[in-house]
Amino acid sequence: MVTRINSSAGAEGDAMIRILILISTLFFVSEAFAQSTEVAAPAPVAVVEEAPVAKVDVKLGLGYQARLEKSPGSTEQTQTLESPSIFAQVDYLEYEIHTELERVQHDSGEGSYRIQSSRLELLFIGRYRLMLDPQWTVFGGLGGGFGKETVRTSVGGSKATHTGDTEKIGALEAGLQYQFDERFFAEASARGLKLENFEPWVVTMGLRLGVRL
Amino acid sequence: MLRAIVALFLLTIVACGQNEKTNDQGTTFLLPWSETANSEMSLKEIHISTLRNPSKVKGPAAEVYIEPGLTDSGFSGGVADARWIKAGSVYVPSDVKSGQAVTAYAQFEKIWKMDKKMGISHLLTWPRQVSIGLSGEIGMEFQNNASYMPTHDVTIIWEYTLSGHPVALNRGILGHEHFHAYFNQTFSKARDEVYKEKRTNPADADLLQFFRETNKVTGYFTTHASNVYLYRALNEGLADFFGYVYSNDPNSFASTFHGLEEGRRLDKDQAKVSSAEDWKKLMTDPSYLDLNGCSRRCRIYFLAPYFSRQFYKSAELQSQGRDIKAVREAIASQIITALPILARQFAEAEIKGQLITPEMLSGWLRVLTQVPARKVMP
Repeated sequence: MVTRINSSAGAEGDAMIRILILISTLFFVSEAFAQSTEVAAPAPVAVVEEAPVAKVDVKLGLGYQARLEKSPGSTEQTQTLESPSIFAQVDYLEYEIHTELERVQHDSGEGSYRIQSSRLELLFIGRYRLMLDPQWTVFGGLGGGFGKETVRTSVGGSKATHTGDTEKIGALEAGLQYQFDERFFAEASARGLKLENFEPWVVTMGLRLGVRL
Repeated sequence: MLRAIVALFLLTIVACGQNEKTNDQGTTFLLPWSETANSEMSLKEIHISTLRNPSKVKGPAAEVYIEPGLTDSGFSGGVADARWIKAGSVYVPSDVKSGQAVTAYAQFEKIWKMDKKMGISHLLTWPRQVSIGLSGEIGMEFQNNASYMPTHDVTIIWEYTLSGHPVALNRGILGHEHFHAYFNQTFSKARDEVYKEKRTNPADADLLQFFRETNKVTGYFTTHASNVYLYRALNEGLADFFGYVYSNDPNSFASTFHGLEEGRRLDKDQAKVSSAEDWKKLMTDPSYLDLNGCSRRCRIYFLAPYFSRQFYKSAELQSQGRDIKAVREAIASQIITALPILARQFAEAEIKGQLITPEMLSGWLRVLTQVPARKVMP
């Protein structure tokens, strides 16, 4: 029987639970980090005012993507795959470099013929950010990366595992970021990916939670 | 100077005579494959010489679709977009639908080459239109099977939900459906021409109506209905023989449909239904052979082995000291040559109201296939 992973009300419920677990984990980790680095307030000294210096922000986080791909079928049907990811961001003024590592898995089978596919994608996206207010920021991005897929095939008793050549990827992105406080933020974005070995574009919708270091 | 010219000439011949694999711009895929009856299906690197673009499953042998729509003019939507990874020079499908689509193409490429060798390919339109499933709900009615639709000249491989090897990987089943296209183009066409010449209609002119009226097994069975179901049984029997010719396996259905292992295999001695008397009981007695619930359309498959096994035995006998593959292909070619002539004989007997029996039909066909194999004129 061919197996497809589809978005559904149940999958969305699972996604919400995962997001809540992410938020809790990040909260406890950041609190522990903050407490361990507390220092005594310095004695007051005369301060000479200096011009403000733009600083570089580093952020880390976890993400979840719902990935819509055209199915191999002849009509314009799509299949939905879920993939977790980790990311890092380096901000300078309104510019940002976003780096993300994502893992996509897909199993399919019919009778004795089975294929398991596992794909890692590493993306580097240059973003331009526009702050709407202290909490909301919109961004657009352009970038690319690499993907590598491993396929395990079996039919009857015959099995084989192959890892494909590294594939180039192009990416376009648009999204929205929300700052909870000085540390925590969430963002949602839509991406179009152009894979080297697959003609139709792949569209992903992602949700990420992060913390500023 | 002369020696240089000769050397250059020989070098050119050698260069041009490089093996097909390096010059043909085809692709090599890792596919489930089995070449003979005795070899288990396993993953093999199969070179598909006529598949130039690994992403679009089409070429001169076939155009393969995955779950397309079906319109009056054939399949709608584009051919399958295969997903794969490239490991060195080999393409490895990354999902089973892509794998089945490419395997189906590779099977049809083999069939096409055999048809050209047998001198019969010109009777059909190539590339053949093949689909893995159909979109929408209609596919759910026809799982674990394959069909040839003469109205659209397309072959459909339905979704497979059993535990054996999927239909798309089985060359015997694909070859069986492919033969129905030849039967339609030779026997059915010639039979229709006879009826047209005589300005009369056959009993199955309106096929849906015909099956509505006759499909249920009752004691009432007209001569005309008997003749129609008989030639359909012939179609299925010859299709089983051609499945064997294409696949080298007299029991090619077994790996996909475990229950048919004994019923349809060609290398058994006696068919359960092999005479006019058996045929009448099969078509009029609901409990004959414990086939309660099996309609007349279902029962024709029980007469099919009567025809397929005769040609299988004939091939075995004629192959003493000869290449069995060449003998099978020669017999197959003779059958295709004979079908239009058989159809005329059959239609003329039908129009006269004659009851045609399995023995008569088999006898006519055996006489006609004694003639030397020659190309069938379009």
